[in-house]
Amino acid sequence: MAKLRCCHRRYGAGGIIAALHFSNFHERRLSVIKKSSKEIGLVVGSVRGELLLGSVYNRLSASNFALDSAVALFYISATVFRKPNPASGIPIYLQIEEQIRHAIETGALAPGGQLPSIRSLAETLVINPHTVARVYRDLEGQGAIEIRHGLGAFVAEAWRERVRTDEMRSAQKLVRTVVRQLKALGLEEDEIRRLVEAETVEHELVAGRP
Amino acid sequence: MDTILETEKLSKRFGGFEAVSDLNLRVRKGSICAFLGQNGAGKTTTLRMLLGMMRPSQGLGRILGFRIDDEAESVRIRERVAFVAEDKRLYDYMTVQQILRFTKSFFSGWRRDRESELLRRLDLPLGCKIRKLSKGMRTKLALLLAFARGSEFFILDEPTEGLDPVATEMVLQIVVSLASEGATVFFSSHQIAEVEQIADHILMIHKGKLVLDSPLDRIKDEYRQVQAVIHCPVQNRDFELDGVERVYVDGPTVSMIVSHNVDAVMDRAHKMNAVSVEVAPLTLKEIFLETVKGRP
Amino acid sequence: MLLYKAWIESRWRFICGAVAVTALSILFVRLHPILIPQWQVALQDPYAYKPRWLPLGVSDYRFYIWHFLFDFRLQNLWVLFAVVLGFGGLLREHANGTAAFSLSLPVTRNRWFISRVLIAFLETTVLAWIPAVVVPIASVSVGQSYSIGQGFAHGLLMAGVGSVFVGLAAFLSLILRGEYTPLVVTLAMLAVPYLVLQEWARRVSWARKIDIAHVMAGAWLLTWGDVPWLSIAMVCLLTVLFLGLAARQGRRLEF
Repeated sequence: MAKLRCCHRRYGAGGIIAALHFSNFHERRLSVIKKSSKEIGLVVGSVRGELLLGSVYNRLSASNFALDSAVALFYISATVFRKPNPASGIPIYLQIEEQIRHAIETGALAPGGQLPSIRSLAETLVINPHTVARVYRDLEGQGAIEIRHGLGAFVAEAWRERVRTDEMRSAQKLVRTVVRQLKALGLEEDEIRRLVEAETVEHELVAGRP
Repeated sequence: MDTILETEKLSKRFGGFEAVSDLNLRVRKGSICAFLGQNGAGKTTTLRMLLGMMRPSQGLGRILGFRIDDEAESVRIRERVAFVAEDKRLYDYMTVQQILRFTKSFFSGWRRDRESELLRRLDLPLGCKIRKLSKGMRTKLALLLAFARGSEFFILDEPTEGLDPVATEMVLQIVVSLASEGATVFFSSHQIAEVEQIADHILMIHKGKLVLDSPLDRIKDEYRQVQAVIHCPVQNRDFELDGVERVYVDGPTVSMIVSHNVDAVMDRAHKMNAVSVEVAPLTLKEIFLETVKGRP
Repeated sequence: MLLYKAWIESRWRFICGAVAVTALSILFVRLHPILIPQWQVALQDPYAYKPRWLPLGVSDYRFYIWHFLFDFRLQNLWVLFAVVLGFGGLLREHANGTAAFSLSLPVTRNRWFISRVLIAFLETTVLAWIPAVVVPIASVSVGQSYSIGQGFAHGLLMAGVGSVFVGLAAFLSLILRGEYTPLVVTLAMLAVPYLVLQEWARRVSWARKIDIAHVMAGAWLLTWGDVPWLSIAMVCLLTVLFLGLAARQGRRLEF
């Protein structure tokens, strides 16, 4: 328990699960995981942690999920996906698609890695399951992920990711230059951000994104 | 069956006052459908008619294929539909344990796993008399009594009213969880932010009439606010185009709420030599306010 | 489970009634040795007020019990509790906000009504039989005896005929909205005719046939030959009428 508490202080909820994962904890029986999850719930101390754990270990007992992948999924859910903002101008499904694409491009979601099930992502982010289903469908259409029937959704293989990473790197250089120029013109960071957002939003909207 | 709830010209008159008129609702199986409307717009009256608490003055309604105005069929509906009313008061003289035992006796599909999970998460004390519970706890208990029934259709009237943010998020998460299992949820709410978060279909009622019936995605994709600066005199009827819901003119600025056909509107603005045309998205709250504002 | 709910809902009212009935029965039993000497003195006094039944009251303990309990105080008390136990139901639940929950359950209006009224009948019958048990036991302490059989017979007559009051309370509960309004109105409705009719029946002999209180009391010594079958049948018909009207009203109510 003390070790878990220390882990939480330094790395947050994700850190605890990573610690569990890497210490071969996943090889123990389900009842032990359940007991420790309750302890972890105490340590995390936030309702969100309890919620996420609740949904994970319910899924564990409901379907015969391999324990280590379930634990790894939890790690991903807790840190990769941010709750979308429903009131922003950007539709929720676009926000999630963007998050997943970004995660794939930067390598946070490894190629071939498994994405959370539609149900668990919907429950984690508290959004409509149809929205998640749509996100996965769209991403599959774009070739970013593969949906394997009965098994789940997986990040597509390496070649796409490598291409995007290159594009991302040159894009980053471009952005750095533009931002430096705008700052030289005397614009504040807030103003720059607003300009970029307005530009991207209008472009998406006027271009009639599906 | 794809449609789990449908009404045809459903109406309710109280003396000379028409609380609900000609309502044609359709709720698709598996959807999380939100029912929006101001207080007194007819939401609660509609829900009461659906559950057999009130008889329609006119029109028909069916839930799961059963008629809402026939008592025997209404009982069959209630066996499979879980309803939580706006007033979430429960029997004061019973304890939490007693009302659980009482309620579960009516439902053969009662989910014991859900019951114990929710008792734990919602932190409800079994031995406590209901009269001693706070309003928030009573709401949570009322919701638990519905969620654990194992129903395929949930009708919730203001489910998160009076709940603190933590409990609210928990309830929304449970609703999402139910929908993931294939249940259909039809709920009314004043918390538009919540609606935007989890609903996939919106039904809006105003003064007893249905004024909006659309998937949320389509609303968010198509509703726009178009602002144009036009330096020549503009009248409202210059923008009387299909899709323009409202036009506001203030000096050279023309601001429009558009429900579809944005391209045509922008074209018109450009034809009138607009100096600038900006298109911005609208939140559901703004769409709701604009839809009910100033309607006769 | 509906019966269980109806029971929990009315439990305290029933217990109060049971305590009151028991106390009243014991009170009158204990009063007997005090009253008899007073009455004997009054009988000798040519100027004292002597009701017609006084000699019988002095000579026969069974008449005494019948007069004060089944014909008078106990009957009044019982009718009061019959109304208190008979009122309630969905309209009352509507007044205190729980109707929406009850009506969301897969239960017909008829079932709600029947289960509640059934429990009310059971409770009022038990209340009517408490004296049958209490009086014989208490009578021992004042050196008298009272037949349990007579007690049960009187109790049955009282509860059977008095069921009309339960029916009336149940009916008014589905007509008048409000948490306690039906109770107050029923009691008001009873107080006047009950008292007026009784006064009138004292003077006019045929009025006794429609005086429910009189029918409920029956003869002081009940035998098979004495049972007023016609009156009982008329009252039962009235009860059935009230219940039928109430059930119909319940089905038509809008919440």
